[in-house]
Amino acid sequence: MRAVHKNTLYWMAVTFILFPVLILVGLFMRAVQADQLGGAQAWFYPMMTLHGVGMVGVWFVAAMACASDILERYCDPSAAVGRFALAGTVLGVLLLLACVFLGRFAAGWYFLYPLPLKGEWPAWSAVTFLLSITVLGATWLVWCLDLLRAIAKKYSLSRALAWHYLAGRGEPELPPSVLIITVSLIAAVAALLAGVIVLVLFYVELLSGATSDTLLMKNLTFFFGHTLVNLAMYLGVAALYEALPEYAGRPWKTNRIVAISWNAVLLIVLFAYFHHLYMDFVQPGAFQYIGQVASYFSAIPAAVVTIFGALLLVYHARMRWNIASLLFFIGLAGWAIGGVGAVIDSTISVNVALHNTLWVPAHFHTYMVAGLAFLVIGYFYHRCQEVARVPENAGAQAFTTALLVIGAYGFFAMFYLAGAYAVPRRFALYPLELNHGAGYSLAALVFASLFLAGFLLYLVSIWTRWFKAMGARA
Amino acid sequence: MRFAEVLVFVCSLLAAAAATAATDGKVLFEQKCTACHTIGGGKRVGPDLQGVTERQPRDWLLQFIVAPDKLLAAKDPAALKLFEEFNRIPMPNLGLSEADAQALIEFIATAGAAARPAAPQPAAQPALPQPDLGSLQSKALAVFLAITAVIVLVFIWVGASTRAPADVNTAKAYGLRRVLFITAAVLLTALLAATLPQAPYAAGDAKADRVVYVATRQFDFVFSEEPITSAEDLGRVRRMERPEFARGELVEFRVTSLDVNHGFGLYNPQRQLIAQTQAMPGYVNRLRVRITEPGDYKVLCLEYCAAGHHLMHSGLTAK
Amino acid sequence: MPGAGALAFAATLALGAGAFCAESVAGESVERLEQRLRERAIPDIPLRLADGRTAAISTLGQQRPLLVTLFYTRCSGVCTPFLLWVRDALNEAGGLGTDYDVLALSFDDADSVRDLQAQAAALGLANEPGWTLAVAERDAVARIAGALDFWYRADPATGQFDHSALLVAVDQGRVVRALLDSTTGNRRLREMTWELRGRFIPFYRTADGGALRCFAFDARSGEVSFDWGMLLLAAPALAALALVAVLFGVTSRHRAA
Repeated sequence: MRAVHKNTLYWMAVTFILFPVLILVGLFMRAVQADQLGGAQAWFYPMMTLHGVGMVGVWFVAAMACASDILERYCDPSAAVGRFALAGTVLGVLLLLACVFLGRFAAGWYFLYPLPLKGEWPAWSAVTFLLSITVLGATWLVWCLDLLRAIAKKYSLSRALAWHYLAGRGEPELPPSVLIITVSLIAAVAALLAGVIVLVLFYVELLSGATSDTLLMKNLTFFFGHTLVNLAMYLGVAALYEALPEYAGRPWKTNRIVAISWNAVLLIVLFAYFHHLYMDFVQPGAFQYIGQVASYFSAIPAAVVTIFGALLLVYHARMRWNIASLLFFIGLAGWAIGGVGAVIDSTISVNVALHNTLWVPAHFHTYMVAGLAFLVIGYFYHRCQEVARVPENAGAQAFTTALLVIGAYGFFAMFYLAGAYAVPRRFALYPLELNHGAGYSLAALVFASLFLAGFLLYLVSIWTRWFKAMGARA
Repeated sequence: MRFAEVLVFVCSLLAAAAATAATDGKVLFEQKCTACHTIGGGKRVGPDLQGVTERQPRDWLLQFIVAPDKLLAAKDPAALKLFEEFNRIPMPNLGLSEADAQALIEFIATAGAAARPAAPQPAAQPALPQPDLGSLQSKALAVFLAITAVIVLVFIWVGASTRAPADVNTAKAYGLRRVLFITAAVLLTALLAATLPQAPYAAGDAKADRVVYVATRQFDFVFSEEPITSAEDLGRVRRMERPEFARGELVEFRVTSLDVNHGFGLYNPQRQLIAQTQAMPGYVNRLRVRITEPGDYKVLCLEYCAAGHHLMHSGLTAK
Repeated sequence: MPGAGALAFAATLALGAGAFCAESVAGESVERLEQRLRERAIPDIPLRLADGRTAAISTLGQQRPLLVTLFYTRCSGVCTPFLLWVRDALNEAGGLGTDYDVLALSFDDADSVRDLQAQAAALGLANEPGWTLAVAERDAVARIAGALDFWYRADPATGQFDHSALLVAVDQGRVVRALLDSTTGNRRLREMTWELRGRFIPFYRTADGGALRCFAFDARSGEVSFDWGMLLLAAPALAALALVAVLFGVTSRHRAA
């Protein structure tokens, strides 16, 4: 049995610590919106910023840890770079905590230009935030490039992108997870470079006072943010391709269709971010229409190839159900459901009614929590259990999964309903006319607490397995 | 001719210079204060300033207007109390001189005396009943729930099938995939063809009945019939407190921002979001809306813009 | 002498900066003045046309929207250059005579039909489709000038008029858009013609920012074109692809070895 690398185990620990803390931050936000924490209202936006950057960051590194673990099976990522990424991430998180808790920095996770420079927080906290993002971005860029280097050492670029399948040759075989990771890492490098440009323009303004074009900055920011989140999801899907066959007892291989669809994803993912700027009429119409077309057609490789493939894998299979395979299966459904919410919102004429309402957090929480997070914690469990081989309690695992699912979907439902009722996102308190938003917040608070309880139960079940996997290293 | 041109030119220069060095309290108030304060219009992001000249000593007011950050840093009790009362959103240092502050205090004192006594605020405003879903929103929700139901049923069906393990005919499955692929592609293309022409920027060739300029800033909407492209304009143009429209009018809102990105979200009297656009510094978005029903419309900021974001709202009326 | 050179240089810089500031200040106020003219009703005054016919403004604007400008033939100042600018800019923008017409109205009641013909010939407009030169009675001119805030005054010393420059787009008797300043270049005139032709442009810029904008609206074609900032937007994706290609290229040598 393949041992779990120490770095991967550390990444798991990082996820297990930060995720519940950030859930608590989210609970705090819903409590303020439900008008339950009147005095703490001033902390809403700093906490919103922490929750956003934190969650995006945690699930990006967790998905990257999965990718790195998968690659170890096929090639040789550098352990030193892995440690470097861990150290850089910890440093970035510390800087983030400092600017949020000491400086009350609150420009939102996407720090849309020029807000970081024009808020009520002190200038040093904005600088600290930018430094935090710089440290995180630079570290992750190095990490992505190292994983790509490891892939390149084994495969040529055309092999890694499965172009020989396009030409009709099935040999040499390429694991689909490697294809997906390669595609995602290339997109990640592009996204992180966009982030670098945004940061450089910020620093230029800080040093020289030269302002930047707001439209350009908005485009770059969403190219950076959207793409990074989007491909974190794809890395989670790579983990699914890798692990689900072991539970279904059937192989899941690359074929021509898989190759075509993931190559198409590489192209589509670069244009989908345009849907964040639909309500900016200054953006040329052509870009808006490309945004809708790209958002729509990103659904085909996902739905028709991956989800259909996974369902086919499970259909009438001699399936070994445990918390990992349950989370994989349900995580796939979460990806699909969140995707439907996203495609609806990516329709320009519908976006008019849904843009920046709670519909937006509704759909991205669906595929980030009930999609990506389920896939990743499923994979983490899968890897620990693979090594630890602790007897499983099916009832407890089913209960934990049920708690996670009920908590998550109840929580999402409040977002979807409030979004349909035009309650805006990112409001600390709702105006009188929209105070039904507070009711949804209260219900969401209850469901999110259930989810947190479910996650703590999950931690209880993975606890011993993680320690055993750690011990197996020594 | 030439002389006249020069004359006009010089006059406009002088006027501009006068405006920037203004000691005119009213102009300064419009430019620097109305984003957060009213005089007799109730609390906004900051306190209602009616009667403030009687509540606080003049010296303190002068100090606070010129350098609020210093007073706060020095833990001045009155400044701290305000800070806590107004959700820890500090009054920013606006770079005003003592002369400016003096002019402002004079203006606030006279305007406050002239303003009618504020109507007593209703003690606790009752929660309004939940509004109906907008038609677009209810369609979106219905489509979402229907597709979600199909997804859930398919997953349950596939999950349940594992109770009876069997070999699967993959050739048949790939046939099904082909059908699915073609169906999805046709469906998505049809949806694109149906929805793209509905985009707000595609339909707009009709002539607008009214043009209203909207300048946004932290944390305020300024309506005017004349363009506002800089903070200086705020003191020069006539501001519409609450624009009024006739029913059926096609109104063009020309929306821009004077500081950070904001959103302009228009809610109809049923509290349904009917139109929106972003407000971006340096650009003007032209949003066209047909005002179809009479009543009070609400305008909310739909792009996060810092601590007063949720307090940034305004309204208009249709008759 | 280097001192004097430096002084001259500084003076030039200061003048340049002053001119720049002045232009932006004047530009803004002009925009507001233009905005005030929107939706103003145009009085339907009778005109005497260059071909000797008489017609009302409403009949001229019956078929198509109308661009209206005011001038007088004896002007030794801005009138002729202004009309030439309008002529050239409209030729460039296209649509004249098919989507809209131009009325150049003399505000000097001393101008005769013959004067108008001579002016049209001098400007090369005699046989231009879409151009109408006309003159009106003193009272009628005063009414239309009043409606458009057009300012003119005879200077007895020179025999010339002091006056402002004006071009308004009129549709169904009302001002759609006005242009008071030809120095803003052809861009705004072209935007004006697009609006007259019913083309909706969903945005415009408030200030000319730096060099790194993503897009520029080309009013000549009515299309949006890419600006330098676009390069910056495309850079991450292109750089990523190049970086990955190099990475795989370099590593492949190790792989072969």
